[in-house]
Amino acid sequence: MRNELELIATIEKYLNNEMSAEEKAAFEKNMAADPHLQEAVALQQEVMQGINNLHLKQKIQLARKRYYRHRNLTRWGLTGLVIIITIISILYYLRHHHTYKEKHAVVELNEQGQQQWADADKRLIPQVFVINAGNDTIVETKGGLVIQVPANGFLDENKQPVTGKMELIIKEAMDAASIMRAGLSSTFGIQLLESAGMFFVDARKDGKIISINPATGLYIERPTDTLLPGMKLFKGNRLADGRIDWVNPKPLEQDLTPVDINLLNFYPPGYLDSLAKWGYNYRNKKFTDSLYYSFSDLFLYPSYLEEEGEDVDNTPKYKHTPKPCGINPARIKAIWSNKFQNTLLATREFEERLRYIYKTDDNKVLDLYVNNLDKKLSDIDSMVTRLITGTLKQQFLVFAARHDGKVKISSILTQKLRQYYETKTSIFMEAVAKTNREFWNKQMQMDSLINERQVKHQKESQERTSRLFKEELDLNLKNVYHQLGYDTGFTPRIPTNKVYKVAIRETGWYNIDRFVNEETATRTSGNYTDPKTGKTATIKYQPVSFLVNKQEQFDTLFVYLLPDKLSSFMRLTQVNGRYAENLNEQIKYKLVCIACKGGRMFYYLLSGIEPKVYTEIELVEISQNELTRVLNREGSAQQESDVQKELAFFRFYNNDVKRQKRNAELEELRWRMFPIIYHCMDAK
Amino acid sequence: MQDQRIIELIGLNKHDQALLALYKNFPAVRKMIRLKGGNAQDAEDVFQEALIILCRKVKETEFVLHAQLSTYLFSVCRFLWKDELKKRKKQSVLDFESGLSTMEEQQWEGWVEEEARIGLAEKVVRELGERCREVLLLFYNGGMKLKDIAAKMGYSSENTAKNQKYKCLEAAKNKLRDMKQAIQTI
Repeated sequence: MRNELELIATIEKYLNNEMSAEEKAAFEKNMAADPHLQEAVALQQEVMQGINNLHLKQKIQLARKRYYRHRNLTRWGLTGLVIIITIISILYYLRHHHTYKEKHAVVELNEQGQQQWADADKRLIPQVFVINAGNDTIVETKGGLVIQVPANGFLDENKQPVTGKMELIIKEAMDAASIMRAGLSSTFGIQLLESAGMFFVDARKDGKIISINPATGLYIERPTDTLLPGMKLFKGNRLADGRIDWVNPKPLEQDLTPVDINLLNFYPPGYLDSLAKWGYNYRNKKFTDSLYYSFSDLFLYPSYLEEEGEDVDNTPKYKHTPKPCGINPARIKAIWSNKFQNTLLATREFEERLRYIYKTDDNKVLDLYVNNLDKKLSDIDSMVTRLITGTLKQQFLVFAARHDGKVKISSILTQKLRQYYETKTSIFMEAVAKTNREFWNKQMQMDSLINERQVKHQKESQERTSRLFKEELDLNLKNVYHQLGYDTGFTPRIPTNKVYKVAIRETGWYNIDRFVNEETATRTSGNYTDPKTGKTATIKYQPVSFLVNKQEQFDTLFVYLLPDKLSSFMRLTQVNGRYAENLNEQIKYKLVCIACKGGRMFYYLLSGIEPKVYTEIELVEISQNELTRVLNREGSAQQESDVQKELAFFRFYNNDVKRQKRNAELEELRWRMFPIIYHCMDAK
Repeated sequence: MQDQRIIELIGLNKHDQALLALYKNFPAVRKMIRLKGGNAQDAEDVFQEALIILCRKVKETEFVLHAQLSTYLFSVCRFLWKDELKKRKKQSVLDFESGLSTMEEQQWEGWVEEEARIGLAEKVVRELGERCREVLLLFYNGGMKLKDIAAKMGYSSENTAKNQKYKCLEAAKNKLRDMKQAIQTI
């Protein structure tokens, strides 16, 4: 065996506690000295636990299967789709009280005071529960029946409530084996039935017959894992030959269990899925709610749809028919609230129906459910089938066939909730429309504000650039004149188009002007030789560039050069991470870098910039006031105010870009969502 | 079945009967989970995980039964479901009164964490080749004799079977170590 495998075998021996005391001590000593061995032991132990777990899971699956097999329905025959649950109630019992409990399954007279007993009566062992008739009692039988006996649930022969101790006697045959052992059959006339169990209920007080109080009734639950549609309750009818025939089928009622309404999903089908698909946080209910409810304004102002049908930038990505059809989100908002906790609406059953209510596009269908909270869900299903046609009608017929019951509710509360629904729906619609309107009006105001400021900033930038250009040109002109030996005592004029035309007649000046102008505009070095004098003049520009450390971490970063001889600043543009410019030989420059990050300011300052590559520029944080002070100290008043103005604009602009982006996304999302809220529209 | 008997059975690795007895508690758990916003599938998942935790704990020597097994099971289920709700970030988790004391909660929390750690090892074993998995399961839980395992798996000798087992264990160990490292680097 390989060494590794030897090691595994040893570890296994250790873990299984199969080592002798000496071996164990030696091994543990080794382990203490060797972290690798420690790790190997730990890993192996975990793997073994993993194997154990896997094994256990298999066993649990097995147990689960067996458990369900025990409880599962017994299905007989092809035709029947019926639960047989027999309530044979109330008996008269004469003398042999004690024997009833013991060996004999039957007493002399049955619950109707007759002597007729079926085979099943004799073969099934009774379960006797002694209960207090004055209390609410719940009993669970061996077969799993849960029987709720309300207080005063039984009446004596004088129709007076029974008090004190009484006996509840149950016989049951819940699975195929016991049904057959009891000699029960499952037929309805000549029809075969499919049974989910049969039971017999009898009650006695001191040996005397007592009857179920019709005003309260007993409530019996037969837990099952699969609910089959169409199950009914049959009454047992003893036949002379000892068989029982099942007659008088009645639909079963299923009382509904309300759950927390906030845990249900009342959104249209596909709403949350689509949000998830598009990468939105579909778990943020505040967001999903506000988006969904925002659609309700179209029910108030359907004309909005026509307006919105044309997209802003004339590229209609989405085209919708201008007619709101679908369930009004305001109605959903009205019902999806704590007011409707513990009502019919706060049930999984209603949640399921709501998915199809959305498909009907008919708010009247929804209204039916909300306005009939005191009715059985299945009754409302039936009402719905009268409103609609086609496959949807089929679906609601299927719902109705489930015989889903109701959630108990007082009629006063029903009334109140109905009113609440009516008023809240319209209030919500108004409110949503108003909020929407106000929001978009505000956005429009902000849009025009940013436009204004943008135009203003552009104008200012242009002014600044041309002022700077003029100043530098003057400087260069003086320099060139000086080099060529001309008089520099006068202020050189600035070439304009008009002057240029005139200047053609004055060769010398014209040439010089053009040269200087060109060099200044492109900020490159150049030589010029005066044809008259033969003298040469030079303007020298030399490249400089700056590399700021970690510039991507800032929201915005501006790199400025402050020229000492000019009144304003130059903002450098960034190319491939570098800020580059050409330095005029005659001017001294200072470098100022200013950056913002989430409202915090950072800066860097360096004087005496030379034509070279600057790297490792590290910005440090600075307060707004301090920055103003620094700029005042380092630059001229004009430079300082120009820089501040520009910074203020960009701060404002960057914030607004975020706002615009958010709005555009919102708009886009609304358009995409339209077909899901109003799915009769076609999305293009 | 008596709790003591169930514990005995689990200790003897006779899980089948014990689990079936424990499964009788399922309806109550399902009811609780339905009331707390879950569905039948959630109930199954939670219940099965709780069974695993309980079975492992019962086997540990220091396990002392302070209450009925069903109470334990129910309270582990409550804890697991609360944990799950927290993961799903349902708002109502705040209202979920687990009805457990802080001490109990802490205990369950420890158990559940341990379970997650073992879950990783289990995943590794589950994802081994089919033969490896089978060999390991037979060796460590089937209570089968070496000879029978060799015959069942079609190995020529007991030694081959044993060797095979060690090789599979090695593969599982390596995989588990890799996975743990990968998790750490993340």
